Amino acid sequence: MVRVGAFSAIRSVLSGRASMAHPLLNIGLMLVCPECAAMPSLPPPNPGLYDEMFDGATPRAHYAAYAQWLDGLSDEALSARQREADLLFRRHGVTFTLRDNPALDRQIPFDIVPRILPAHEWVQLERGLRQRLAALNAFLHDIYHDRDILRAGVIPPEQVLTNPQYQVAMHGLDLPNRVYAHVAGVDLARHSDGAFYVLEDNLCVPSGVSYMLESRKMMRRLFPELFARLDIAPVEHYASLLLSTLREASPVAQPTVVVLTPGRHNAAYFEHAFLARQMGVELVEGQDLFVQNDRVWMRTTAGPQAVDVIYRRIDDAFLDPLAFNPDSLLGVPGLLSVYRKGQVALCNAPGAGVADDKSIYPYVPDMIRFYLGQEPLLNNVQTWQLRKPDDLAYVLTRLPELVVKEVHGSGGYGMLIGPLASRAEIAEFRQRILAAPANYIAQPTLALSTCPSVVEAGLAPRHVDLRPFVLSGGDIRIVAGGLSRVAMQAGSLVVNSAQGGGAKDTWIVEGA
Amino acid sequence: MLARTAANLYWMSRYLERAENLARVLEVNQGLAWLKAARPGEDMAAPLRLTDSEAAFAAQHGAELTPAALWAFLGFSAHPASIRSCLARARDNADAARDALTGEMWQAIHATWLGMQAAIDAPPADPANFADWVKERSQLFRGITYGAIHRNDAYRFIRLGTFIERADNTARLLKLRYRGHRAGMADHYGLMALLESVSAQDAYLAVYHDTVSAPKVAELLLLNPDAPRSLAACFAEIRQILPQIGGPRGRAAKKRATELAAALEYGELQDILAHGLQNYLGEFLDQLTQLNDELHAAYMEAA
Amino acid sequence: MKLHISHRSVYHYPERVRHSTQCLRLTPQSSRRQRVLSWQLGLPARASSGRDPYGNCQHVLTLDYPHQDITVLATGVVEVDEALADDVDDELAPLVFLRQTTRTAPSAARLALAQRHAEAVRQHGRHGALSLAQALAEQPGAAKDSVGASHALLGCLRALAQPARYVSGYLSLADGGEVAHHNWVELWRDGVWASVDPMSLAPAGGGHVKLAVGMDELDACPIRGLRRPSMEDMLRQAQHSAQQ
Repeated sequence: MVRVGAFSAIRSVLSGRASMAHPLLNIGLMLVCPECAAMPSLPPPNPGLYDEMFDGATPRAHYAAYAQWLDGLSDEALSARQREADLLFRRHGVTFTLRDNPALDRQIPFDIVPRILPAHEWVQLERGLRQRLAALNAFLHDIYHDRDILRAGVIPPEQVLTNPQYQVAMHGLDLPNRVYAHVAGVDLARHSDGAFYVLEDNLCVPSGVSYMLESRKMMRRLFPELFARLDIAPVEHYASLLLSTLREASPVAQPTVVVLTPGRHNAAYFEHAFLARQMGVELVEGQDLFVQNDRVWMRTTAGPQAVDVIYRRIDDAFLDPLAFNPDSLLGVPGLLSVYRKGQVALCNAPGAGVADDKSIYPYVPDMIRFYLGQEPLLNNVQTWQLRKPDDLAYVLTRLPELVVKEVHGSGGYGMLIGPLASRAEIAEFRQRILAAPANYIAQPTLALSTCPSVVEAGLAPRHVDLRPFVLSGGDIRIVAGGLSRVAMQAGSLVVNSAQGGGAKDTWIVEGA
Repeated sequence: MLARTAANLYWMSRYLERAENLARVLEVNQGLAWLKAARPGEDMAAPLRLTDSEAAFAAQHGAELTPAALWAFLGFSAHPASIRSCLARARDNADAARDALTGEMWQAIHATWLGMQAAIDAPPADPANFADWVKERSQLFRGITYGAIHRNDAYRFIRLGTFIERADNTARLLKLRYRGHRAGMADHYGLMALLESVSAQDAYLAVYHDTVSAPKVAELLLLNPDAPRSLAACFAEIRQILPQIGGPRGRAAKKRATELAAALEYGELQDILAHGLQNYLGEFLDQLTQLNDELHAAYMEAA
Repeated sequence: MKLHISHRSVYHYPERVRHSTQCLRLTPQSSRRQRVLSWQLGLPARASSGRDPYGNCQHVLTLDYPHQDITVLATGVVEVDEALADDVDDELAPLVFLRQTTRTAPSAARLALAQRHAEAVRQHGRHGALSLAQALAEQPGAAKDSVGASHALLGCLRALAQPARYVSGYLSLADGGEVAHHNWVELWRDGVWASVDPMSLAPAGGGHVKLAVGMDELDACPIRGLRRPSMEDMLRQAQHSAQQ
């Protein structure tokens, strides 16, 4: 018997911001689970938590075929497949780079037990995602134009206009299809009530899609028999959907698209190169581009070539050293001046991040009602805004139960996890809140669902979340599923990058 | 293709070729160890002189030149000219141009780097095996490149790097090891070592059916287009590759490459020897440096 | 008052560079209080012009060939209505100008000083801001130049929830005297941008010609550039020779 720790927590494997903080240092979610134990081979029921595979001791209907197949597999055979997967990932060089040691590439741990969702449940999620992105893009268009939602008093104007993510450079610009967040990675988690909640809308430069695609490739190679037996929705066409979406961001008929990376020391460099190659477009760095005569040019072996669409994987602040952070060597001097004349498209648009800011998150359901006249299909996590005196008073009495986050903070620095914090830490954090309440929000601690995963002693439940990728262009396009992120480590309170936040393949299965 | 990517591919293949050449030189050099008594230091130090690292070696290992110390220094150490550094730089350049490589090419060069790291942690008991491995990996990569990649500019810059580096290496080795007017056993083995270092011993026999003689070795490695590492063979390739690169640029490089290729194709050994082989090779290496600079200016400068 | 301006900037790099891109905010625009009668930029190559996020006239100058010097000459005539100290424009929501930048964020000491003037600023707007500027100027270690003084005042005003912006322009020092580059502040009050010059401790007068506005110096400065390949701070040898 292997003891699995009293508490465990997932750190997001990937975050929405590219170069500010290491993706793996961004604590996306927090959870608290009762003590649970792993049996060799069969995951035990896990009281108080929702398990993706088991309802009590019985496999859920959509996992029945998989569970049956798994029963026929010995522990040794399972471990052998896992080892094979690890070896293949290493050989393929599917890695992310550790921020503190750029010379070191680390492999993303991959778990071979799939996270399965029945198609009928996915259909509901997908409708909710479409609705959410439509509203978020409408919000972004509005706040950079007439600001109706602010005038209507739905959101206090200063919440938006003084937000550091609000880019004055976007004021009055008209974007094709009114799309700002062309690529979104929406983090969802299933709570113990069985319902999905949106944790974060990542609208800046969400990453992780390459792991979704590599995971699928791996699973097809390892388990062809399962793909033959089950009707699993494909994801491999993501790159072609992405390319269509990027092309639609430009008014030009046959636009030249490039992927702009901070370079090979960026944690997500593997993904940047992967996507450029899958789309058949150039992977450029800032030094490869320059601005002249109101166009952006890339330096090629045949001389300068005009660029129409930049899928940029660097943050707003680093895009143009003449408009934003003057110390940035990553961007392109003068880029913004060309962008503002509509002569190049940036995906995602600068200033999209204001809509995924934690201080704006509580208003997303209101945005859906305001712009679409619909009731939200996806749940928001209840959020207390500490700039409101009533919320502040309530939260101060409940600090040991709640998670308190800094509104503009990325990374886990400005964060209190009540159930895991000592009395002294809570007391200290209370002072920080009182000094600037408007900088904080609070949420209940979520109990994330679990999914069986391969550990040394066989299978054990591990916590998972789900990041589907939503593409917005002329249409909204979503491949079925997304990246399931899994906390590979049990027993530690916070699973950090070096201890391994991993990935699982996500299967949307028909007829289950 | 992106100028920076062209530079990455070009240098990736130069470093890979350099690693392979150095492995061959070190291997042959080990075979010459017994000659040490006859010609103290001279041949043993050749790999150090070739890589311009005599001073760095002396600082680390002292004056004692042993095969083991040479392997440690030029094989596994972090010295910039070592095989290890060459493979690391080849891999870094490949990584920076990853989107231009096929999956198989990337995996081949990445696996080489992983293998090199394993060799650093546990150096092989027999360095000859390591040398074989390095050659094999380089040849494997060339094979995959030849078989897997679309014949585009990426392919051309990779090939260009290979042949420029190879010409550079052959010219340097010849300059270093060629002893025209002495005779005797030591010179015989020196010439044999030179031929082996550029994999030309079989070619020599096939062409001349004769014992080794200095002028013939020079002729083979300079002017014979059928010896794979001769300057003539390298420039026959370079001359073919350059006009295939898309776009209007690179006139100066194309002109120089064509002139060099013609000079090698129609050159006569007696003229070269009359001019002095050392002079000739010195001038050739200067030309090669200028060609490299012209290629950079025309195609590879990103900023 | 009519001002004749001739402003020559020479940038010299320590070594030849292969490429440079400059962002120029060197063209004044007509507004309620100033009328541009004529204006010309003399540049080493064609620049593309446009409006930046703050509504300023901006030129982007790219030199994509080896060079070591850049000379920029701005000349023209601007008529200023000395009776008007305020300006209007509708570019951006004034609330945006509540944000602090790394250059404006006030220290604890300045914050405390700002609090002591909170009431005056709230009630009297510009006059409150002028007394605040005076207090800032009297502090030990106060900025001696218009860049630093403007940043200090902006930081305090924004901390007091008073939208305020940075102004870059020219100042004619005396009748018939020199024209120099100068910076000051505008605060949003009653639907207009009211000027405060923290150096003269007065509103902008007939000698103030506005070039550009922004959150801080970085947004509004006349020339901001970068070069390739080396991006270290370039050695700037700017010579301002201007005359009325």
